[in-house]
Amino acid sequence: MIRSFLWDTLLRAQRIIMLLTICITTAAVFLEVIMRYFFKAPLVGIEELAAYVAFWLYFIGGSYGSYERSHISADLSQLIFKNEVNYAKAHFLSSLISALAILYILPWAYEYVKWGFEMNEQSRSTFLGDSFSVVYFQASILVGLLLMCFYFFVESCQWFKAAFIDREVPQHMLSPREEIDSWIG
Amino acid sequence: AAVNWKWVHYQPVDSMADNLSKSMIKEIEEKSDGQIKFSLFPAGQLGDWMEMSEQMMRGAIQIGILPVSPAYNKALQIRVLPYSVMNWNEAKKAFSGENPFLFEILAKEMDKIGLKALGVVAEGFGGAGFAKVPDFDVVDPDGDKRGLKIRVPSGNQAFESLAKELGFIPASVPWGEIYIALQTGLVDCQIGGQPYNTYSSFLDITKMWVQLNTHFQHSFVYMNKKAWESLSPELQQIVQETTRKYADTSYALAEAEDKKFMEEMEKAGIKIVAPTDEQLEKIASKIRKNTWPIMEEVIGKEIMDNVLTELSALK
Amino acid sequence: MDWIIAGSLLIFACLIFSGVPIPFGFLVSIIFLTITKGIDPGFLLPVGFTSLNSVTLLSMPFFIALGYVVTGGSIARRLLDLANAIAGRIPGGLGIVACVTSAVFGAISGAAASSVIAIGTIMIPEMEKHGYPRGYSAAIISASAVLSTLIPPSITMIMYAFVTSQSVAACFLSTLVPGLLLTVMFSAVNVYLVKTRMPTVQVLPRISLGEKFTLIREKTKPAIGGIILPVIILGGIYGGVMTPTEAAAVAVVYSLFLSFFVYREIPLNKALLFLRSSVTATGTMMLMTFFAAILSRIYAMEQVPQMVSTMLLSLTENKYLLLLLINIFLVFVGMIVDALSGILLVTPLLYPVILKMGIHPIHFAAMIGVNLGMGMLTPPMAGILYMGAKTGKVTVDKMLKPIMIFILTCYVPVIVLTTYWEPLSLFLPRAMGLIR
Ligand code: NA
Ligand code: NA
Repeated sequence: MIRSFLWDTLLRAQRIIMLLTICITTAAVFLEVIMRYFFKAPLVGIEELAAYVAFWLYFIGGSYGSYERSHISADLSQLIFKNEVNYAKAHFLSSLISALAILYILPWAYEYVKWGFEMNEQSRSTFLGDSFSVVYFQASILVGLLLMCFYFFVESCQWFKAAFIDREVPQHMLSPREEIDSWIG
Repeated sequence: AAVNWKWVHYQPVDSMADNLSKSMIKEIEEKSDGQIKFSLFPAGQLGDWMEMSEQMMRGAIQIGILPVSPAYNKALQIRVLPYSVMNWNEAKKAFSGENPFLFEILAKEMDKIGLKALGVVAEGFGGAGFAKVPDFDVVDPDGDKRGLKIRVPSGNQAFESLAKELGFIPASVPWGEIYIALQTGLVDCQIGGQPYNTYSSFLDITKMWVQLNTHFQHSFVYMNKKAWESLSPELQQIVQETTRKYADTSYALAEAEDKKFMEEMEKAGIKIVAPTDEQLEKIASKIRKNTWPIMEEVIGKEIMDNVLTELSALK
Repeated sequence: MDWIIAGSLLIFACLIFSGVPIPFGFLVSIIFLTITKGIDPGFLLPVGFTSLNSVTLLSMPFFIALGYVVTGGSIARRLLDLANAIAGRIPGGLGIVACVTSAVFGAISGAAASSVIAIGTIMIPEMEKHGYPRGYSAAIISASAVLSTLIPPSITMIMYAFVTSQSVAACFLSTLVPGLLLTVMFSAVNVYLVKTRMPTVQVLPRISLGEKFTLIREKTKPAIGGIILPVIILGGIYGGVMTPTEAAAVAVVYSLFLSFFVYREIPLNKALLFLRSSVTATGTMMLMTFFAAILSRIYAMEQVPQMVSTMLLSLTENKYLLLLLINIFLVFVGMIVDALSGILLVTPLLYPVILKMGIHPIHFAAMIGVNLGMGMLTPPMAGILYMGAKTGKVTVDKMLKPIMIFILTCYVPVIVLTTYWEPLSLFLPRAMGLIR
């Protein structure tokens, strides 16, 4: 109960961020074009700001891809392992490797964000007359990696169960997760 | 023990910065008797200049000839303070010689973020390249510019304000798209570099070059402070003296380059406009009045006052 | 070559073939190099961050979102109806309609996958109704779906421009002529195959010229909204109105407006769903780009591109032979990874040697574009081929023979021509004065 509530809330939060970031970035660039042509008053720097906001789009979207199992891969295991259980073993291993690799660099990401806070790194561009701290955008890397690590770990547990305990693979795990029929779900 | 350091710059191979780098590297390697060795990464192989500047702070790169990134210390924006020094004579006095006050102010600010300034490499004076020759005066800051759009380095406050004060509409265009933006008319002009920049990147697309002397374009020879402190006093002296020696030759070289590339542009059929001192003074006083207060907020009053006092003593 | 570097590539290959997603294959190689080369990891994530912090790259989420919106709406169907009215009644007509519509759709969408889904879903059943074998229909639609990455806009070209700091607008144009040439060749091969090999295919009864004219006029009106999209994107970029990034954002807003207010066919929830789902696709690509940027920086610091360059140039000094070698290598890369990872992996390594050989960067853009475009169809990693099979509900083996015919008679000649005849890729950008 609680577990599924937390799980759903997490996914919903991600979906909201994904929708917000794509809307904000599109609107920002669209607005710049409108301001330049119709008001002759360009908002210099708004596109650069949008490129910073896009980091949340990239990393929350990327981690959602881990949840959906839709990461770009060159997986040949489906061709090699005709046997379901072997297939599950291979996937257990690959998701575990991904989880561990991310786990290994989590301290890097933590140090990076910490440095950003301490040094108060400023943006390369200005918006409305001022530069801004970029650590709020760098933080997306830490958050994204944390989420990815979590999803890969959950997935490796599922494959472990399929490969070594149940000895059969549930149909739904053979393809990427089905997209839900609503933007929020 | 011998160290092997990464030396970077962002100019093309065989450019002035490249040749200076090679000379400095050769002499330091010889004089240090092999205790310091360098691998040279030219032409921004390890990132754009801002990134390499930040990597130098972190110590991933040890030394190089680059502009200094203001990302960790906004006061370093003095670098692009428009119309601070107006000509070669002033630039030379402010950055080298007996009272190099701008060098010292910047070196002090660089020290705060873990960078050791060794010298200044002059690059030239900034101007503007136009894709068409307008049939009106572009130099008069109060004249009507008929909505001409000017590409400024993205989100750079000093240039954005400068463009507006000159009467143009500033526009953001990513570096890779400038050529096409000029060709298609998305923008009419680009500003921010010295003649060499326009000659090497936008020659075919430029019809008019206006030497506005917007700012003194320069790089620092500088290095990671920890790497500097790891050197013995003797080695520090070798590095300091060698880099300073070659850096000081850059003023004459850069002045000659500005002249040479303006001549080359003229040969290629580009109209060259060199505003008179009075015209430049008119622009400068408008910029100082309207852009400098904005820059003062970024740079800080104390430093700005210091710069102003020294500058007026210079004239 | 340095054995540690070779080891990192070997680890990457082993990992991705055993199913580790490509971004994490890059990541493990990064970790391996960090440990073995004693690299201070403190600067690695900043490299990734600075690389992705780019207004040029920001066009990627917009073009991908655009793909989702136009695929979900009826823009493709309206274009197909129009194409059908024009060309549907000549022998082999439906096949021509399929590839010409793919080409036109390619001027809207930047990714081949949207094209397979948008056009395959409608066309494959329609073609079957008129006697085309399903495997063949799926094959011609997959083959021409690749046109989406050759006819601008194209996300693979955005990626190439990003990696090499070239202009997106110039890279876009480099693959346009090869793309149009392929469209013509697909149509011709299709007509030949229909006439000689597919007796089952029916031709629709002829109609009078007047009737045809009325039909075309009838079908034009509903398609206008869709036809305007390429005008906005390409006209915007090459007419000096917008940068590619701005054109992409404006196209997203326009296509939402069109589908939501004019055609009234996408409910709000769906519109939001398309936008939100596109973020996942963008995110997975960017994550890969993030780690690839870090890995190529490590390679740059270890001077690997120079090693590759020296190695290749030591094999032969002959430009034509080198180009042949590079092409064979690209075909091989196209077989084993998708186009985006191919660009991220190969370009930083080959770029210095290309420049040394005096090959124009925009010419190389076309070579990479066409080669890795074909790679989307060449097994074992053949994303678009598999997607075509899924969309057409056929097994891949039924598609293999026709797809091989298209590869050998269309792609291979175009690759050779693109490689050895520079004007094919450079004429347009030069004529427009966009490159030197
Ligand atoms: Na396209
Ligand atoms: Na392939």
